[in-house]
Amino acid sequence: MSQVWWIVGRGLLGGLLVMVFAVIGEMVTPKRFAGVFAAAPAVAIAGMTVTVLHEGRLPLAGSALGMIAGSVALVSYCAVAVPLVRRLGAFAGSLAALVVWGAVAGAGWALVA
Amino acid sequence: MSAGGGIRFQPAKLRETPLRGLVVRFAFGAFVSVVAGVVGELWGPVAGGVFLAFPAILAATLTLLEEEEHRRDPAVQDARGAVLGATGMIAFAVCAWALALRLPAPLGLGLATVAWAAIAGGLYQAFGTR
Repeated sequence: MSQVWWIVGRGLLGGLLVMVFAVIGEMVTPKRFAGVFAAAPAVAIAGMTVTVLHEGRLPLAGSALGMIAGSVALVSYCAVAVPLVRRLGAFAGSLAALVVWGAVAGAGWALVA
Repeated sequence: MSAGGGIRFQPAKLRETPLRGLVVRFAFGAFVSVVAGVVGELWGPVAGGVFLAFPAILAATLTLLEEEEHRRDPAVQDARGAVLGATGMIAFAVCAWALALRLPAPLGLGLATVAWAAIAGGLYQAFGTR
């Protein structure tokens, strides 16, 4: 199978799993618990599954190592997003918090790579 | 149906969910997955792995939530819950890294997902209701 089809498969599986976790999040209350599912590892499960099917499990450890850095950045992003969303609204607040994710993820990547 | 910490499971709520919201989340999920894949191809699996925790889906969810509810508080509560889910993601990644070469991949990813659920759920029970 060509490289393009693997990328397409990764996208479809990622989108599908994100939707599955979103559906679970829609069905549970309170809102704060539903938020747990907004940070579910849907993209990671999809990406790692396709990686294993395509290249075997050798790149999996590297991928997971990078994800540790990305996840630490995601915690920082969420922590900063709470006051920013309250002050600026969801769109502007979550967009502004991306700066924090980029900075922490970059530093983490430099550390693990 | 309800569990500890005031958690309720209400499948009927799904009927109130706008289809547009699910389609947007699918699109963002697909987009982030493709970006992570392309970054992995260009700069290696470690760089691609960083993007497996890119917060685009969360940003989309918060924006949709504010649009649907016409106020900011539900989005703020959702972001607070996401802190717990994101902490669980660290457990997922550490577990996947530790088990990657020790167990068959489906089992390793399954255990990593269980670790995510246990950490995120445990943190919610401990701090989520305060």
